[in-house]
Amino acid sequence: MQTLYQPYDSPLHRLNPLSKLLVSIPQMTLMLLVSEPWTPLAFVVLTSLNLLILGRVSLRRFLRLLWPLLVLVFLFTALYPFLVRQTLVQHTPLLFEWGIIKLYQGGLYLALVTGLRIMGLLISSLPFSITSDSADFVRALVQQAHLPYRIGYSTLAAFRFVPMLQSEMSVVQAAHRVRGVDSQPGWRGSLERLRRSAVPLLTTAIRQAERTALAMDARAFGAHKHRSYFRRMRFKTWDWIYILGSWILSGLILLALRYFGLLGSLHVLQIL
Amino acid sequence: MSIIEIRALTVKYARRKLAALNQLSLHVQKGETVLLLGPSGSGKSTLALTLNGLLPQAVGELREGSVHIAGLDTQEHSVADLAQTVGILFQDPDAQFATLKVEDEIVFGLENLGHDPHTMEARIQQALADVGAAALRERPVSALSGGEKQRVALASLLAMQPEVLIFDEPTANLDSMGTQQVFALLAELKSRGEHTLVLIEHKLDELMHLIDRVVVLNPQGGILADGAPRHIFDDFGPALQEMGVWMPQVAMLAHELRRQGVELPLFPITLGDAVRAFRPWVASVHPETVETAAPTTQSTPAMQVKDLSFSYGDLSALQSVSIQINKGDFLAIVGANGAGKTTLAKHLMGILRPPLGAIALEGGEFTDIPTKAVARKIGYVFQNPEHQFVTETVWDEVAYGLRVMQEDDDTVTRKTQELLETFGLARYAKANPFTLSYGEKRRLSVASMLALGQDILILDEPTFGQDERNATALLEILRGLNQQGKTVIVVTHDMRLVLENANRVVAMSAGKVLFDGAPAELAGKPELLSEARLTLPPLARLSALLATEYPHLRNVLTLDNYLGLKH
Amino acid sequence: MAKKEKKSWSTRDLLVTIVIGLAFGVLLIPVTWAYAGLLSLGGIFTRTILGGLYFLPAAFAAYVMRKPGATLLASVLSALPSMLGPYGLIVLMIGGLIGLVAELFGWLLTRYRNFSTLRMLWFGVASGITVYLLILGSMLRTTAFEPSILIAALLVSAIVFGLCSVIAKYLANSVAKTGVLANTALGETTADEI
Ligand SMILES: Nc1ncnc2c1ncn2[C@@H]1O[C@H](COP(=O)(O)OP(=O)(O)OP(=O)(O)O)[C@@H](O)[C@H]1O
Ligand SMILES: Nc1ncnc2c1ncn2[C@@H]1O[C@H](COP(=O)(O)OP(=O)(O)OP(=O)(O)O)[C@@H](O)[C@H]1O
Ligand SMILES: [Mg+2]
Ligand SMILES: [Mg+2]
Repeated sequence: MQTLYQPYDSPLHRLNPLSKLLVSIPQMTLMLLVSEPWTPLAFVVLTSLNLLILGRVSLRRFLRLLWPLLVLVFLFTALYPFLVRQTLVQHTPLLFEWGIIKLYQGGLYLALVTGLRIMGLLISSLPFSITSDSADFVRALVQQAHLPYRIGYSTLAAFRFVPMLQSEMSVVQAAHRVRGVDSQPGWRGSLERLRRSAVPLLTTAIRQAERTALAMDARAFGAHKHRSYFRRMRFKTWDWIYILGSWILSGLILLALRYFGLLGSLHVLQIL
Repeated sequence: MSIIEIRALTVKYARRKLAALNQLSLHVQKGETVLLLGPSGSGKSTLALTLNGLLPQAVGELREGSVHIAGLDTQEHSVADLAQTVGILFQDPDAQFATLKVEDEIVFGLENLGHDPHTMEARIQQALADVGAAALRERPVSALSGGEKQRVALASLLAMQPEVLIFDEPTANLDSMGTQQVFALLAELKSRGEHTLVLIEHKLDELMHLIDRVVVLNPQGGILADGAPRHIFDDFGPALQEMGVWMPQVAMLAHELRRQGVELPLFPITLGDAVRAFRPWVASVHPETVETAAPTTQSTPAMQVKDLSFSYGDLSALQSVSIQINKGDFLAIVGANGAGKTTLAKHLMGILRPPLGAIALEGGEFTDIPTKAVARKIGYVFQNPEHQFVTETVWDEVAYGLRVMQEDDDTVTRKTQELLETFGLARYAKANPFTLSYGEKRRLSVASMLALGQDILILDEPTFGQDERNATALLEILRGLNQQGKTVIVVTHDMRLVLENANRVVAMSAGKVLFDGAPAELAGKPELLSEARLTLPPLARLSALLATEYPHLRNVLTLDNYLGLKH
Repeated sequence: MAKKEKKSWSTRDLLVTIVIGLAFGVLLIPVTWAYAGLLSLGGIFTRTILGGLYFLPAAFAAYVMRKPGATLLASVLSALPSMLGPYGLIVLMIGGLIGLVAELFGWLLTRYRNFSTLRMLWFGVASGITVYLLILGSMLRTTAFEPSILIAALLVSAIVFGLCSVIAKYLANSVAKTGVLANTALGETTADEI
């Protein structure tokens, strides 16, 4: 699959993929819960440092990865204040008014919070996704997290189909344009469009899946309850240091924010 | 004792009325190399699947009879057990990988069988060395060329140390260089004498010297003929031609000459044979140089490409390409996998938007013309015909284009009927396009393109994966259209097609045009051919061999050229 | 020949289910971006409508594979291609949530046997209501919408999921006509002998 992963030799690359996940997931959950700007800001900084120092990500690549996120966050912050529900912010000072367009301080604040939280959400999975090899991840899931190996390895085999499906998609669209395909307006047109692109896509994908399944069976896949592994995945000392270190550091950050009264209340699933 | 023992085998697929294999019996001795031939749909791949138990354990039903491999009954032993005795290399290199990295791929089977890491290390090294791919161990499989992919796939089979190896069209997706690589591997395996080999393959001339025995299936899934290669192609030649089965080109020529009453001292099946077999006859023909008919096209330009460059991200796919395509040309674009052929063709159609001034269509600037209008002037047939299907029946598929043109109902009906008949598809009018056979799908995609009556037709690999009969039929249609004055552009790996049909050829290598001119001229330039990683078809190579003695054979490149030699 | 037991998973079943998920996942990549874009516009209805599209792979897999687990697996995998998008790993959670709900109602309403259009509709409606309530329930405290709007959105969710369920059936039938599903549970019920 088209992933962000780039092979390199850095401390983060050498860690077990599961350790990175064990650090990323709590951070992401936190980003979903918080409702003020300071926590996301702190974690954006922390994760950036993590990537640059432990991940040995060059500043250039870091910025290249980040700019679409920054654009998204900027758009958010620019638009959100005007679109946020007025009842939520009407009690805060009015900063600017032009005709029906009103900018309240509360709106600006909410926009900033949401923007930062989205940024934090996105960036917190980067240490995992740009330094973990998918095959190692599947190996770790199967060997250590006891994911049934047939599911793990079938998924790995199917991973290779994603870029194929993506280019297939654009070829199908080009092929239809060449035939002078018109898209009719209305829901019938949309349904027809969906069928026209989904059917060839699913047909090739399923056929390819069947062939791959036969080739895997032909090499004794799934023959036994257990299989052996050429490469063993384990948690090593550095994994424990990374996991515990990150948790402790995160805890300290939260305590500090709380101490300065900057940590607001926590809510579930506010931005979906 | 025979290593493969098939007794009165009848195999059926679910919801098929007809059996795919019918009372088939076959015994193969240890160490034999067997070539399996038969028309499309005769059950060759089905037979391959029965040999490692995938059939009936994963697909199909075994109705009658039995299959034993090295004494193991394939119905009683699991596919996993059999995998240590039988390995299959499939046609599509991409569909047989289970992992993302070469090393992972090679241990995949061993891990499934529960081997310990020490044996695995030894086996990895051995298997990679066997296929000459030790340097590829750390590579991701996505970064391999087609030929390398087939090597790695073979290494992953060899790691399991099977006695029997089955190859189901292993070169179908490869350019001629990749094909040569796979054939060299086969020769290497054969020379070691440890394996029993069963091959299903269409490109025969380069392979025949390895073959001990040929088995031909008939369309009903039984055995039509079984014996030594020379005997089969000699005695069953006409029957094979009749069924549309590929034969070595030199054997085809021998049969054509025999029809003209020429007796050969030996029936040829390899190039080496052919030199000896045809020499007396060649000596008897008039030593008059064959005048290669100079291409007689008008030189009114249909399309002009000027200094076109293109890259996908960092990868440069076209580098200042300039060509002129004349009205009435039959132009072939050739070159190795990844040379940029498809990329160029897509620019000609405007699927990839060319920069301003790079392409002119009938003298006008291309980028000024909207895609819709381009579609009326140029027809484009994608490599995979399924991509272009937009409706649910064969009839609608052809009628669609006509309706887009806002023809009235009567015209639509009449023209659709005509086209379906021309392409031999009339009886499938109500069928779903996806259910047709590969050859039929290809013809349907051409028919539905032609419905718009464009003057220029671009086809990407039109004969890929076709059997002899379908390939010939399709080319006849294209030649007919070309004679009516349409401009035909084909992208292809098949040099025989180029020499037999095209009046011009553009050879590409690494995004550049290496050669642009008459096919016969390209055929006479070995340095250029090797630079573009192309090889000549067998008959052209035969004349090159004979031309040292008989210079008048220099321009004899195709079957028709040979038959045109005067006495 | 002894046919394999229907409930067991062959390698082919696994790969076909996974690839159904991934193929829809590729189709849904632009939807994920549109969803994120609309997030800033606060359009609760458009978002609910788009959200319904994530039910397509679940319903498709349920209808085609007809066995426990297929719905959940396809739904989770349909989230993978969008992981590079604006939600990162969160889409995986949503995929899992929709998959679990769909798996439950697939079992309750179809028993992996009855897949009439009406059943498919109910299957979608029930899943749509449940998914909506689960997500809404968790954010009730923070939402500032009028109750009437929330109920209207609930209805929209039910309708959209129901429609997507029926559309999935229609798509699956279209794909089945091409013959590639011949080896699946759906194929076994539909194809003619040829
Ligand atoms: N999985 C399948 N389900 C149903 N029918 C099948 C299946 N595979 C093959 N068949 C049918 O069985 C017959 C034999 O097919 P097979 O693929 O063995 O032919 P083949 O000789 O390998 O042809 P080709 O040269 O085109 O590869 C054909 O009629 C084909 O349509
Ligand atoms: N969509 C794409 N994105 C990135 N690179 C591409 C894309 N399509 C093609 N390429 C690359 O561009 C180069 C030229 O590709 P192209 O498909 O034109 O080659 P080709 O001559 O048609 O090869 P083949 O004989 O294998 O079909 C190749 O190196 C290929 O890997
Ligand atoms: Mg075959
Ligand atoms: Mg190409």
